[in-house]
Amino acid sequence: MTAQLVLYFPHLSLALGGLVILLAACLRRTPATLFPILAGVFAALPGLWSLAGPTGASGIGCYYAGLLSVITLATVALTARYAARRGFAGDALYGLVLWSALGMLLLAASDDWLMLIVGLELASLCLYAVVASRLSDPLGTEAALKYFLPGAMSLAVLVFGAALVYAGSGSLIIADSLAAGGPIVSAGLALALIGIGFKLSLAPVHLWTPDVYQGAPAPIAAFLSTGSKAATAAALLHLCAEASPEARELLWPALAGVAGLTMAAGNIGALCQKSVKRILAYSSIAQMGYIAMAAMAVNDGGGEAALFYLAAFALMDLGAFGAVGLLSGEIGDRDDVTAYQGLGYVHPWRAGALAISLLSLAGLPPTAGFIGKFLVFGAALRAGYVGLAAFGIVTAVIGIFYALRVVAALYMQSGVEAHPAIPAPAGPAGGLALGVMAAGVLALGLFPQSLLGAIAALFGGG
Amino acid sequence: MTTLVALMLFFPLAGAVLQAAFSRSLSRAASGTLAALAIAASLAAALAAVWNLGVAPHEITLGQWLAFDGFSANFSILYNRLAGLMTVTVTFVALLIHLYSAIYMREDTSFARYFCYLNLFVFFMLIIALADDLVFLFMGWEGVGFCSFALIGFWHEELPNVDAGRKAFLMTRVGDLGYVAALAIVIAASGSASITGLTAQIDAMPTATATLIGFLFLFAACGKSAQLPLSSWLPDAMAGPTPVSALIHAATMVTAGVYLLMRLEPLLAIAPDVGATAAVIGAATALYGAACAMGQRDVKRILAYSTISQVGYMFLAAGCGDVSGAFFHLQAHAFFKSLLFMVAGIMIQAAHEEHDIFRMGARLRRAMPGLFLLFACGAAALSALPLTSGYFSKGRTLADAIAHPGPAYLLAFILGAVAAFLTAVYVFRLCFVAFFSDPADPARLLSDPELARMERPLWPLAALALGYGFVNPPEFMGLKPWLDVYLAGTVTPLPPNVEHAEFFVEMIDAVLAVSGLLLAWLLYRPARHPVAAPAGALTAGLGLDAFYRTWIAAPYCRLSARLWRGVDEDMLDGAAMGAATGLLTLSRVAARLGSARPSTTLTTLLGAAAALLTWLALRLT
Repeated sequence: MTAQLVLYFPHLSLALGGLVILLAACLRRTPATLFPILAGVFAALPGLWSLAGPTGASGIGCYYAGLLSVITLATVALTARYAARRGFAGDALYGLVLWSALGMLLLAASDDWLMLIVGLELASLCLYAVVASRLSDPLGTEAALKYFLPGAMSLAVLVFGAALVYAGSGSLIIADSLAAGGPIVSAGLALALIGIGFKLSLAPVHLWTPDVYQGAPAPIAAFLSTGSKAATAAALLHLCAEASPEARELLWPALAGVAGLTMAAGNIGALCQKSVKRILAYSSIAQMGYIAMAAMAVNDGGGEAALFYLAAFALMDLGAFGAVGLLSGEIGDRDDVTAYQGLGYVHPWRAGALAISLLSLAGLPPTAGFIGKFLVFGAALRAGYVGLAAFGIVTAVIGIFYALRVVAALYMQSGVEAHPAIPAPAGPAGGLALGVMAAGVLALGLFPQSLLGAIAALFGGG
Repeated sequence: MTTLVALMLFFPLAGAVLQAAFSRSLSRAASGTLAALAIAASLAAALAAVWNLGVAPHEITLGQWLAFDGFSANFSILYNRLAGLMTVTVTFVALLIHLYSAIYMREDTSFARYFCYLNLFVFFMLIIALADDLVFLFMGWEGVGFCSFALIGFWHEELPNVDAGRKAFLMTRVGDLGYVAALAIVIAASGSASITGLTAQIDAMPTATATLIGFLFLFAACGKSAQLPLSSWLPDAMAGPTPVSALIHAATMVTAGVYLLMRLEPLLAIAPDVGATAAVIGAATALYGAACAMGQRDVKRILAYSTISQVGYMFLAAGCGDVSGAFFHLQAHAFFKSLLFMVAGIMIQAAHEEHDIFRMGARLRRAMPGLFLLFACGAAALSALPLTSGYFSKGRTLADAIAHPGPAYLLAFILGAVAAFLTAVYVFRLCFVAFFSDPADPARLLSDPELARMERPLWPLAALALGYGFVNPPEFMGLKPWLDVYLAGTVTPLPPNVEHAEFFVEMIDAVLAVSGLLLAWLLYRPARHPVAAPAGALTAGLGLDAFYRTWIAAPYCRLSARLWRGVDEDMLDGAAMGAATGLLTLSRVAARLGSARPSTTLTTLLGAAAALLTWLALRLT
């Protein structure tokens, strides 16, 4: 019993955390600042658990628990002052964030089709509500709806795929069912991949992403693009790792096409955008294309590369969206690229963090994004996907343009007066989280061995 | 021994670093003293090291530089008797030049920069002298090139000086291509890049490989030592301060190429074609330099062409495989040529920065008799008047050539002998015109007691120029050849037929030198009131510069203009702009799709599912 408790400690702490926040709201005269503190404490517990390295837990489970804990903690820190200033802070927001994290954890570490579906749905349902949490904002509501309707349909596709896999193999355990093989299982896997691809916003089912990211409050968009993406990518990696050789032979050409299309659509789509949040949305689409490429090579070192890339991506996207949030005024987010002109001189620290995150998204050294791309392309080349890797490198070069466009605006001398230069104060938690993210991006770029060694040890010990 | 060698390298480097770090706070006197002390300490270390050196060479590794993929480059040193004597020569001449410079630069404001480069140069030159690892040697090789560039353009406010520095840098860089190529082949062939490693495997190396490596190193040496066809940078290098010309462009750096050939003697021994080529190039350059020196009016350019010519004799000896002979001439040349250059520096300052020998004349000799005496010592040695150092050392190189069988060496001997005659003529032309004539338009003379003080460091050099020959007298004189005996265990001993030829050659050499002197007297004696011949082919270095300008620089400029306008601007930039426009168009399409209604999203989702299932169905049937 105790062993079970230890094993499911992260899940329990996240579930309990959500309940405790809701219960605390029932008491009279609970100060509003208590909610983010409670949420932060409960979000940190899985991370501490994974650092302790509990016996019996799989290494990969520990890794995802740690990663999701960091993402959730950073989201709570970035959201705290942002939501309080704009009047949508409350018990529901933080409770839903914690439960969404619980769903992501279930999704990332699931061994079972049903658990995968439950996890995905728990994460998504909470996120739909969180995206719309700012009730006064019509854009947010629209975004939530645009996220919810296709999301429900994609879940249907995923469930249908899982059902086909079960029908073809007679098992709900992912490893066993995929090992069985056969055309029905392959068709089921194909549909399941489409459902997961929707959540990952792989092209051509990526069309919801820019609208949703633009409409959601910036810290929530950060959570959406990092936590949900990391957990779904974990599921994708798992499915790809377990796929039978027969299914690989059938599906991999299609997956390669999807990965290439995603990189191209993301990077090219971002070129002419005028909104920073849409640029970041397209950028996260492109990053998922690289993850999909790594997933194809999952058994040739692509797995480790993808895990590193997920961590790097989480840091830089949290940094980018977080900086957008912290640089925004109280009415709506600062969104137009021209509104960022000269911010590098007015707010050097926050703009610096944004610049570092953008450079990392573009994959320039000495940032984590460079090392991540290096590893991912290296894995793809080793696995023999030379054409895809070459195409990916071309798209990555194209992608440097839009990142530099925003960075150039940040450090442009003229045109500062046109937009309100003084945003709402960042708050200590938000500023700290942003600083940690930017420092982490640089640290992973300069000393990648620290994380790579940990990943290798997890795989060895797991 | 390791400590001594390390100290020898450390002092000049530390001196340069200190000069650079405290350039603003050092006074003029402190800067000069510090620089001279650094070189003096290095000289002391070099002397102590030679004192303790036996016949066996020392192989010292001061640390690892870089290592990857099974290859490593070390700070390794091959300290044998040749390297020992070279370090003593370099530091000794450098010390005297530093002392001279302290007065020469008495009015220049950038003295700290000057002494910094000068110390740094000595450091890099010592690396060349000592290094065993060819990559480490290359560091010194490029380092002296850089210092030479920086010091030629030392007065960088005037564009011609900077151009001269750039020309020297680029032309020696052409030669360095040969070094890099040779280095690559050595590493590929022997797995290591050290002289000792190369020597150890020399027997297993195919002759063709050795010949190729040898030719490439010879090309590099030609660039560094201003030999044909890469000689034209040296006369322009005289734009730098005169002590720099004395140290870098006469006594040490230009001999680095020849020294490299000496260090690679085992390689040349199995590649006889390289030796023959080196000998012919050297002899041809000796003649070329001597002929061009006849056409100059600028005292420093005369000496520069003379340096080209004298280094040619060293190539001749090295090409004949006579390392101790080549080294003998290297040392003798270092003494008398640095002496002549520093005398020229005083002459120029005394005549108010006038370089033209046709405006100096007898008044200069009467005003500064000591200076004339110093000049006469140097001139006697350079023109190889009997019993001076140049007489013995040059005779030795010619004896090498005639003792070697083969038409190439015979040709080299004839060229070298003609050059020896011309040498005496141009040296005494310089002497009679600059010190005896009575010019119609003389330069004003400066009377400054500092000028006399500058003469003091030159007396040891004058003594060496006259007497150093007796360190290695020819066999027929019955005296002990100290240098040959000292180097006997380090380099291939002198074949006996050279010794037999020496008597004959020394006689010819004496006749040539004296007859050259007489001819110069006939042509340029004061009674004839010599006037400068109009500038001709000899003044322009036989058109070597014009040749390069017409056949290399001009086509290169045309090609680069075409590449810039046609290929870069039209094709590459056009392609990039076209690609950018296309991408932006694509981007607008993608963006329009991205702001789609939910129904579009749903359609694409179901469409993707349908497409994937169709694909599966097609693949499975």
